[in-house]
Amino acid sequence: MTALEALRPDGQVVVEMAEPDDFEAWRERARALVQGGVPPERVSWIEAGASGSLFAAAGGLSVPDVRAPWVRASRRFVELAESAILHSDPHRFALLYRLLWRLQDTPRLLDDPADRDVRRIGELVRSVRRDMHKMRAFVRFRAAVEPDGCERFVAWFEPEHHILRANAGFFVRRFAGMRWSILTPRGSLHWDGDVLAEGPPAQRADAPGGDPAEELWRRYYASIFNPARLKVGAMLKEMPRKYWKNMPETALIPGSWRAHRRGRARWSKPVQSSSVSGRRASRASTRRFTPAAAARSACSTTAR
Amino acid sequence: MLLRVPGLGVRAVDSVVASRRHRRLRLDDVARLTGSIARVRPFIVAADWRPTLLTDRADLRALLAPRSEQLELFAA
Repeated sequence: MTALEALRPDGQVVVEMAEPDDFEAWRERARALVQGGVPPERVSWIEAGASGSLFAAAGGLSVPDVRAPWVRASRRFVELAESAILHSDPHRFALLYRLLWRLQDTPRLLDDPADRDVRRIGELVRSVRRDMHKMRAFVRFRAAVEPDGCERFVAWFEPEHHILRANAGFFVRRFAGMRWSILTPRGSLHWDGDVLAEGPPAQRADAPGGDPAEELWRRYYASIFNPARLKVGAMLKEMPRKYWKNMPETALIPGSWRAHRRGRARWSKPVQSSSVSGRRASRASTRRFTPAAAARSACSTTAR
Repeated sequence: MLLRVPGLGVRAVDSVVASRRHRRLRLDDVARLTGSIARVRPFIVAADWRPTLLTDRADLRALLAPRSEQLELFAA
């Protein structure tokens, strides 16, 4: 019998996680609990700041017995758990502990795709991976001037999960030479060229409201808009509406979409008569844009 | 043979084969692996499922096959 069970023979064990995305802390606690033989039903995991189970007794972390057996987990489970713990689902700690507990008896549990817990951890990992990917694509920096006269690029982003710290490495490598800050409702990151600092949660008003360069970008996006290639379903799949409010260029989408629909309505009407000049113009444009002609002109340019 | 069951695709069959190495599947396990259990149900036997009367129904095709639909020829 271990110390933990001796302490609380039938009560719940409450584990409070100080950080919502701290895998190492979860690992330490989960290892101690498995070694203590505490089944998943008796453990309640709560995040810092959240209210715990009503009837649970707050239990301290027991020191694991030295003679306790090793806790086994496959490398694949550790990789999945590192990613899944970033999810915003409040039950993720319990799910991971349940999986770890079951892995002790069935080491090949993760190979069973029909298992409810295995499927759930796969969903969490996919959702976190997608959110990280979208954050890399949709963070929009705006220039601000610091008190010392230097430029700092500040972005406001609302991630779905606790991915800010996990994604920091990407932004440090990508924008190593710039000073930047990423503000989110869950926390903020500040890079000054050498040191990455973490800050408290921020609000949208803390980020600058606009940037002169955004007008250029908007004009660029308006000019490359090709109505013949408008695929609304594909666009919404890759760029869901929940990200739109923090991206300056998305303000253009409804307008160009409407213009496209108006244009299509005009074109689908039967053509009554066509002027000679119109026909000539269309023929000229066809000639100009044939691939062969384009290739020829490209060759002549290189030859010259 | 599993690939010939209507409603089981390549991914679902791969998952079913992988899961069968660990245990006998129940109907809700199969439901988790497939898109629509209603289409698969008449053609499989699971640990807690046997399609007794469903398979012999005369209108089975009407129940399961997707309705045919005339597409619009001049759709914009």
